[in-house]
Amino acid sequence: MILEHRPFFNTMSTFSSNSSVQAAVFSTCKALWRSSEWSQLHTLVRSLHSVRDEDKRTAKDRSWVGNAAAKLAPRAQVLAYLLVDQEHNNLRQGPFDEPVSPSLSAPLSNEERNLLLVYQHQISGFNQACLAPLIEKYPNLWPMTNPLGGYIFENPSNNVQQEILPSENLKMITQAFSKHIAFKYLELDGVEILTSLNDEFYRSQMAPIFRRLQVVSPLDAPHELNEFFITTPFNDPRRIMIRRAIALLTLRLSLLNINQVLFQALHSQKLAMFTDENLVEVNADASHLTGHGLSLTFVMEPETCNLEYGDFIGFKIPQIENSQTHFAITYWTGMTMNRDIGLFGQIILWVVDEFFNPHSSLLANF
Amino acid sequence: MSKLSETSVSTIASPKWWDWDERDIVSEDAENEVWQRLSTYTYEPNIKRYWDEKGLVCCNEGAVTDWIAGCFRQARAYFSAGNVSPLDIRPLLYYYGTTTLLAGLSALMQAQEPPIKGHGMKLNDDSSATKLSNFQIKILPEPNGALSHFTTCFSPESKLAHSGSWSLMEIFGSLPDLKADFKLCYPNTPIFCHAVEPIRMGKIVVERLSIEDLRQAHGDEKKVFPLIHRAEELYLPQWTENYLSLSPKLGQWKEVLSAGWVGLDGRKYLQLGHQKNKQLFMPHLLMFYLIGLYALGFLSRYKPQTWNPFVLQDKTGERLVIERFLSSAARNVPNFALDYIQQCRIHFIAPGADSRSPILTTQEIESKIASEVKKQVEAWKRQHFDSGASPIF
Repeated sequence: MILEHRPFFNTMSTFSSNSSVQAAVFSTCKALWRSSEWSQLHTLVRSLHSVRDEDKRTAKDRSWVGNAAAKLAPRAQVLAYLLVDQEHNNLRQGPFDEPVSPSLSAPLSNEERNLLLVYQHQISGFNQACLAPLIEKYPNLWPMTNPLGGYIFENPSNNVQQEILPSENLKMITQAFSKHIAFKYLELDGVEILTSLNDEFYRSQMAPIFRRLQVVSPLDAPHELNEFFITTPFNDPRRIMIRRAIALLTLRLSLLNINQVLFQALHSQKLAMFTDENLVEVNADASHLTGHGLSLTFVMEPETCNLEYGDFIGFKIPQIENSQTHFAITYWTGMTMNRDIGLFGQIILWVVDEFFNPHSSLLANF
Repeated sequence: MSKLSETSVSTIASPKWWDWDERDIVSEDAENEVWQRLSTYTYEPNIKRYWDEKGLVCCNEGAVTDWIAGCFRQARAYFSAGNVSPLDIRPLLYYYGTTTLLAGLSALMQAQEPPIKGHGMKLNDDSSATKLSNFQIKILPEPNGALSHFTTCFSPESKLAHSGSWSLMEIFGSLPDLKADFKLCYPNTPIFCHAVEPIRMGKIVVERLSIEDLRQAHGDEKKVFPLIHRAEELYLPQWTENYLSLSPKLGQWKEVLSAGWVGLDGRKYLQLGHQKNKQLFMPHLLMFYLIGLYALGFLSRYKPQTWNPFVLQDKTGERLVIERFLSSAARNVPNFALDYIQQCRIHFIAPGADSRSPILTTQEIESKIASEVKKQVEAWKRQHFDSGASPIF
């Protein structure tokens, strides 16, 4: 049986409103695929993850770059390749601390580097544009909300005029993103609090919550939050501060996931989909204080066998949701391989909302 | 002639036989037990009660009840006579028993005498056939032929009337209870039913078929999956080194449990369809028994020059398969008739044998517990809130 996977193109049809963030993001993907640069970028990105048998152990083998990028800058997407390129002489691995690159030459040619820089430049600009309603008033919040803010990279292409992602489409996303619920929460609490947020606040208050939310399984809410909700009144200053932090984190995560979708569109025109054509069991379907998590068992296929932490996927499970397609971010994947029964995968997912936010209930509960 | 009401037609048509529930009955003598239960319908009050339960209206009750009672009684007599008769005439007696039983059954289910004329099939006169199993039976698309009528009543989805010709080999190869002897007698011949083995590993449950078995029977194991009855609807396939591993699709576990057939050996078999005239035919096993018995009955009655050497000398080496076919027909045909009356798949099991009741998955158990808890909570709420007691939360 041939199992067909639904490309982004088709999933689009489930969204009726063009003003939604999801619809705008998917239409950007479609426009990207139509662009002349896509195949060039697609070939480049693929070559950084895989190698033909005849090119193994030669200078053409750049498959190490993908691994090194995932280790050096997880979820930094294209920026991670650029960071590996920048740092390739310093990267070490294994018990003898050997260089990760078999040759000490840079993994990217000038032309390739420029192509990635153009893409990254657009992404950075796009992230700023999405957060503009906030950071134009409070520039101090940019480092906390920038999804790629944790990485230091000197981008020499600041003056690049070229574009890969169609700017009209990016504008559509930006407009739709301005309706993000987190902006409303931030407006509610007044200027004083927002201006008082600084790096120190990020390190002491936001970062631990962010890490905790990323570490705790999507199937459950962090227990500290449960206690916090019970023991702290709604108008308690601490609760207000944490609510601000959560709003900022929500913006950051939503943008990170939108960046991820666009990045995946460079890799493939197909989206890994979980439907009753590959699912065997829904192990858990949990809605809780922070959002909605799923645990699934599925029969492995080419599109679903290489999923990693942070990957964006679609699912259509009538037994769980309505008949529409929904989307989620990968938290964990596992595999059961047995020559007597076959190859099965397990996956745990954060279900994302309209704004690609994996913690859709969190703000409402704060 | 009696008239069939609109309601009665819909009652008979639904649900399909593969949607019936399974039911185990413990018995030391299954064959006798089946006939005892069928004999219920040799009495007028029981027939009328059946019609009342099904909402059927019969315009000529007296004649039709006599028809049904007579058919059931005669069928039992034919089968009983067949059981103690030599092979020379046994197929003929079983064929008469089967057609008579099915005629009575269709009259019971439709509350009218069946408008049957002729067998509805024809044995091709093939003098060059070296084996009995090479004989071909041509299905005649006559609406009032017995086969067409019984197909309409018992296996309408199979559209058997348009299937053309069937060889006895295809018929034998489609019956789970003949499989072991069939493989022995006709090696490397396509088999249209395969035993499955259920395997559970944690939360993963699969049913698997031996690849070697499939290769021997069909050459290419990849061709088999689309032929399995309802395969695309129920299963996700994977081909491992030694097995075709079938995982139930999401939400289909209950359907999968009742898919296929349970052989007299207690194993589960999946039925494969036959490709004829660019169509896939998957009739109820009852139809295979009917066609096979017709062919053997015809051979024994009208082709003694072929049948006699077979009976006396087993020149073609097929006697074991054919005897097995006849004995399984005597056991299964009345059982299938009972299934149709009770609208469930009845399995007679020996005392002490394992029940084949469905194994519940963790999800199913959790769902049952959740629904029971919900029920209890609802009852508690009704009891406390409706009675005016103050709520505690």
